[in-house]
Amino acid sequence: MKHNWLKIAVGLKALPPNPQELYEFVEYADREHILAQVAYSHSMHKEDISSIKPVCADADALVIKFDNAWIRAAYDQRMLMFESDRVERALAHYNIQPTLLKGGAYVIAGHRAGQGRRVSDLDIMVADGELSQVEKALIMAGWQGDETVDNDYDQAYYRKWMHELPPMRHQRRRTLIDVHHRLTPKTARIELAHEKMIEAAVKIEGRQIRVLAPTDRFLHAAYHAFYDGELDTPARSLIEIYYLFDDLTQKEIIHLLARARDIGAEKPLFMALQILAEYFDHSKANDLLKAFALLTGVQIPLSSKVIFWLVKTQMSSNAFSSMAKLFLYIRGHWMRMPFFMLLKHLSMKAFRKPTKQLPKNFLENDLFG
Amino acid sequence: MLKSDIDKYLGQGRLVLSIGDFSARLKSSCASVGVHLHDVYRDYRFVKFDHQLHDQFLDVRPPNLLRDLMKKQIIPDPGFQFPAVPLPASMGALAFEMGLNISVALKTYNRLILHAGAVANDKGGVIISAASGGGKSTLTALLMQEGFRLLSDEFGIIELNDHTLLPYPRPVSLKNASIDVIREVAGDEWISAVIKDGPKGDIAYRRARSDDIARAYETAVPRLIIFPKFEKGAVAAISKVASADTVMRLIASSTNYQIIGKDAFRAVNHIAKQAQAYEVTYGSSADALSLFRTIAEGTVL
Amino acid sequence: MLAGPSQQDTVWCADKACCVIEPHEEAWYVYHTLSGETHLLNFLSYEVLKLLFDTPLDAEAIAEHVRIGLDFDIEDCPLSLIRQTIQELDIAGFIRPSDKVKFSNA
Repeated sequence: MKHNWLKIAVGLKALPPNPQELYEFVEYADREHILAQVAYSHSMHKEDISSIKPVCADADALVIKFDNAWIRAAYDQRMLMFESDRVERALAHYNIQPTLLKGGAYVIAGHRAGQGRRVSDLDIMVADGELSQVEKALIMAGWQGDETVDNDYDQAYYRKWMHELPPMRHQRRRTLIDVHHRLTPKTARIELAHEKMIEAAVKIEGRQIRVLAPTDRFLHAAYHAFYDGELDTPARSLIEIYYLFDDLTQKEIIHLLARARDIGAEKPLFMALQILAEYFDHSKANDLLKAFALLTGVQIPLSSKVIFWLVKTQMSSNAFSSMAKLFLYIRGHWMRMPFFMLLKHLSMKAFRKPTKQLPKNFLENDLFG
Repeated sequence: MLKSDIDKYLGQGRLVLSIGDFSARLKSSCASVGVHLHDVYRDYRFVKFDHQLHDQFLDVRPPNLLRDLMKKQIIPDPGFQFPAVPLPASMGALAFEMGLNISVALKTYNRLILHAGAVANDKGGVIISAASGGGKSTLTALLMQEGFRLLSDEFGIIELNDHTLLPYPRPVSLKNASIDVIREVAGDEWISAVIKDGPKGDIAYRRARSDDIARAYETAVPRLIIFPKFEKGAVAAISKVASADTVMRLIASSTNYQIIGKDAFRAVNHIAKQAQAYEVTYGSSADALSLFRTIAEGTVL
Repeated sequence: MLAGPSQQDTVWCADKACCVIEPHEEAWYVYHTLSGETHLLNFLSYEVLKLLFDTPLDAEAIAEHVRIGLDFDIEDCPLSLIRQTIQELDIAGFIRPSDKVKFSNA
């Protein structure tokens, strides 16, 4: 990846005029599943992605690429909107308002970070005390423990140590939901104050659903990207952090550090600011970093330098990147669980078959030439 | 393009094959793929890859180095994760056709893709929708002899704005007994060498004609939908299929209906109402053809 | 499987804007824009859905309207059949309990 590609991805820079770089950029965006987001940020009319700014001789072919990506992402978003609707329906009469997290929240709130975003499952958070009722209601409505985690080891692991129920899959629609009751696992070295964040969550107009307040949403995204072992699609995570940060009001920016301290997200905040300065040249992020340096009592966490290096290594696809990826994964888990448990978990994971599969009937519908 | 250039660019992954509105970047180190392109794709347009954006990508390559050393095998790699079954290196043609099909089926969302054969004449298009082994390729190849041009033997591609059929004329794949049936009517010079003992038996390709390829930009209004059903020794029969049933069958045959959503819904309903649909049960290709003629006489075609 | 809790006297409503309808002989294909799913409705489920587009109603009121609209008597169209249809439409996401429901912490 070229250093300025993330800026292109969010529309801070024009699409590359040079055919070779345009080709490489489009291939990269496709691989990283951000092509529809690129389409969105380079459309003149946001409702019509066919109206991209003409950039090169290949503009027609680019519109087709964008169109395909946009239709694919729209499918994900439709699924997610309906799933959130189904959760609401399943919980009708219980007076429980779940908080949507991550992609689901951006999509339902109509946030820029959600436009064209690929999403695969729904994440919701409910209070500890509501958890068993929510699980029961979802089971009544057709969700059940997913086959991939339907074994004693995984069930026990999730229930004892994790911040979410084992993933549940809907029997008819085959969609996945993660039900959280905390934002960080019980074993995590960084703990987010999820109660405070739930308290500040904002209700979606006309719905029985909430999303995190803008500042908390940004801080959670930063935590999730750098401390949750989830940097599989780094471009997507970093774009998300950019949009969530860029849309904060001046007032929210002023209170950002205080809020990060309050909920225990100082390190993720610091990481995110470094990334925003490095890849997006974001002036407000630069200002905040300078302010941090001047403040006494704020220590630049040493570990963040290591993570920063790892993220950068992974962003540039060189020979080290797959190692860095593994390291980030282990590190993400290391942040979340004690060492011996980590070893046990990794070895259990290593011995099980990969679960990503095409639908069963796909190969029957054979496409032999 | 010169044969030697095709081989060179294919090896470097710098070969682009254009078919109507679609283009594919191709790469292969496998000799049998080059042979297939020289033979079955001899009338198609190839250009050198120069960073032009393309619709499909396909690399026909060994599954991994170790396996390659032990046993000459190849897989089609469409550039995204796909569980392909390794084939002997001599079956480059099959790996190529399969890989390109997978790529079209799974990477196209801006048009509705039906798993069906399609032909057209000046009055309109015919969609031939059948499960594997139902005889859609055979019937497609037979109709090419009846004054129809080839749109595709594998994909009925529907434009979402006007619900017309978009041609994608690739070679028609023929299996087992149908190879000789088509050889008989089309002539030996139109049939490729036979690949023996493939995963589904013998396979050969009936080349697209220059006219099929040249008219790949001309869309056709679907007028007739045939659901062929091959049953050994069956008594030939035609039955009309109601529009609601047609919608259901078309949806079931699509690889991207769910992903497209509303526009695909409008397209299948419009096509099912505008076209006439018949189920054709047959026990021999002679039956199939005479039944088709009966239907064609009674309709706009 | 249920879509979620409801009561005997739940008042149901449906949003016409979420439905793209294509009539065929004696059957209706309905594309639900919210779920992206395509459903094939028979005359009874279509009649119930159509009723709820206009007015929120409970099961008994729906049954009454359907019997009048389709000229059925009670044996042709018992309340149990209506309840089953409601349940199917609810699972598909076409209809939902109207907002004026009381919360219970049952």
